[in-house]
Amino acid sequence: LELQCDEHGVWRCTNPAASAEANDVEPEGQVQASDAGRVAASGLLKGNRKFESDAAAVRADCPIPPSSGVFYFEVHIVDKGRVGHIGIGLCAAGTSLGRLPGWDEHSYGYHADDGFLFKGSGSESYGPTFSTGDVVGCCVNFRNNTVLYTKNGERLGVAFRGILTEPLFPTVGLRTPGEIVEANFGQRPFLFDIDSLIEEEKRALLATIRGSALPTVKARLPAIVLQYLVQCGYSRSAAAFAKATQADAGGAQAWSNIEERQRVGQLILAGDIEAAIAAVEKHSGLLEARPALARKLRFHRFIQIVLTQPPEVAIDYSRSNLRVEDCQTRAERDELEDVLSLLAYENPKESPVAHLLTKAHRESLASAVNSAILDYHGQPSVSTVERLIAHTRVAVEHMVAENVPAASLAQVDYLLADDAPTQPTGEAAETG
Amino acid sequence: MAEDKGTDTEAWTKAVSSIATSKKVMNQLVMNYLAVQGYREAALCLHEESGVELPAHMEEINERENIRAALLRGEVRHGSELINDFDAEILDTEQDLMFTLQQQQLIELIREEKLEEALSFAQQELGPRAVMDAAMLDELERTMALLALDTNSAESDDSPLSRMLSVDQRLATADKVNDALLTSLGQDKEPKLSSLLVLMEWAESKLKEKRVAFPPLDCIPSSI
Repeated sequence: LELQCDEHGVWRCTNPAASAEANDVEPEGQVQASDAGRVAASGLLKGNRKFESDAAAVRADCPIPPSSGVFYFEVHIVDKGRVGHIGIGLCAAGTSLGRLPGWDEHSYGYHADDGFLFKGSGSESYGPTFSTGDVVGCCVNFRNNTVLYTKNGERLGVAFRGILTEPLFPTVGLRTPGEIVEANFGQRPFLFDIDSLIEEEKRALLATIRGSALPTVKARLPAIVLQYLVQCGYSRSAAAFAKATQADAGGAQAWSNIEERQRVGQLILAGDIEAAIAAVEKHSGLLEARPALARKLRFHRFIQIVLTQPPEVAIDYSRSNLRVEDCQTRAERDELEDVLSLLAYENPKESPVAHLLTKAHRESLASAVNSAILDYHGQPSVSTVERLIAHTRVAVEHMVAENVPAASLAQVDYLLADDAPTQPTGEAAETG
Repeated sequence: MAEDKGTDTEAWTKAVSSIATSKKVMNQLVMNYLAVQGYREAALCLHEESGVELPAHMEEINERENIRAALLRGEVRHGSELINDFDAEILDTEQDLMFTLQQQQLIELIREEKLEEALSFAQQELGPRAVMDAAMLDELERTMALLALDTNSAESDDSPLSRMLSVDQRLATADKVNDALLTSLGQDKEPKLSSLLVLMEWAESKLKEKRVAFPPLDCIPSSI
């Protein structure tokens, strides 16, 4: 929004057409007719007299959502006008918009002319003054319930604590003619490195969460890890781990067929589909109960033949084993077409369907076969680790939806990332 | 907010089933666990069987694994020697750690029914330490109560006292030692898997506060 005061005391504010997130402007008092995006609020300055009540503020339409964790916006002082008596901050719904931020209860502001903080009940010195050309940012932190300001990309200290107990709206107030400000809610890049601050906050939140955990958590992990290793078919890893933790090997149900599952997986990865199929068929009824998997195996068998035998053999195989009518879905039919098309290329590895020849493609089949064998024997086919990750993701999504403060900072991806450090940095610990 | 806002349990379960995580990510998560906890052989096997990268500092992981293995066998003296080899100062600077090890030593002596040795060990080593610290004194008293226990029958019942004689106690001691060693190295002592579990519990507790119903993550195996 852009808010200007002309020499007649008329305040004008405009919404830029491309305003990214929610925050439209809700000006108070008499709203004069506007063309698209231009709104004029009635001016309050009369002649040369300045009364304390002679100010005008605008407040965003939507309150800051607590689940965002960290909320930031910046205000660019385009022109300080006559005095530059500008206030930037937050206020609750229903506060008077004829006052600068912080002059009333439930209103908080940082003022340009004296660098003071105002918070209804009083004021105190805080930081530098600011004027034409300066960019002042306001950072709302729901993790530790603080508000801090930035000036021209530099962090100033914590300004307010404990005020985030009610919905608050970003607000800017002006007072004298010629003052012009422009607000940025993220539609343009910020001057301040807010991303680094958000990273710090994620770390700090994680540290706090871990700090509140019971020691019994770690004790549950060996069983979860063992189950994972067994479920994947990593027989030697599972054996080594079970030995090192003195685990009861027989307790992990899928132990009995681990080596067989591993062998089938290795056959598939090596491309020896014929042997893999023979091994799977030993589980009578498994493939019959899973026709889609059986078809997948035949697709891969065909690929193996194309790579290792003359074309006639491949064509022969396809006639007896690959039938379009068997395909149940569009996707399967497309896949069959791709597979059959391998015959058309002299150099399949450089063809548009080269992805069919990759290890990744075989890995996906190996995984499907592994799950099928487990499932066939009534064993869980998805590891606890995988379900734990998914369950946590869903829980975090629900937390954000329920507006749990700082929920957005608790990101599973952040935790899983390769280089996610797990110690909080000094700065976050200070503001925490 | 008196009534439960029940989320659709089916919708939750469906959402969970629809989220797949890459094998690579999960293998890395497990490898991180093995590295932090110091399970070198399992880490090597996992590297061979899955192709996931080995962590750095394998030699140091080897030493930590040897320490853990010794403690799991109840060989506290041998374990302490290995700890000194790894870090000559840590047992002097970390008094809590030293106490934990000596307490474990006491437990092992009692388990082996070397009662005279246990008593003199308690009097000479643990007693002087414990008088300076109320929590340590508590622990010492609990441990001494084991003397009155019939160790044969104790191993089959589930009282807190007899749990001191179980492998769980050795595991807990080994974990404390491992944590302290990692901290002294400036490395993180928290496997990511552990943080994930904690994050899940935190999220669940917040949802319960908001009266959101959801199906529990069934079949989490209980501790071994």
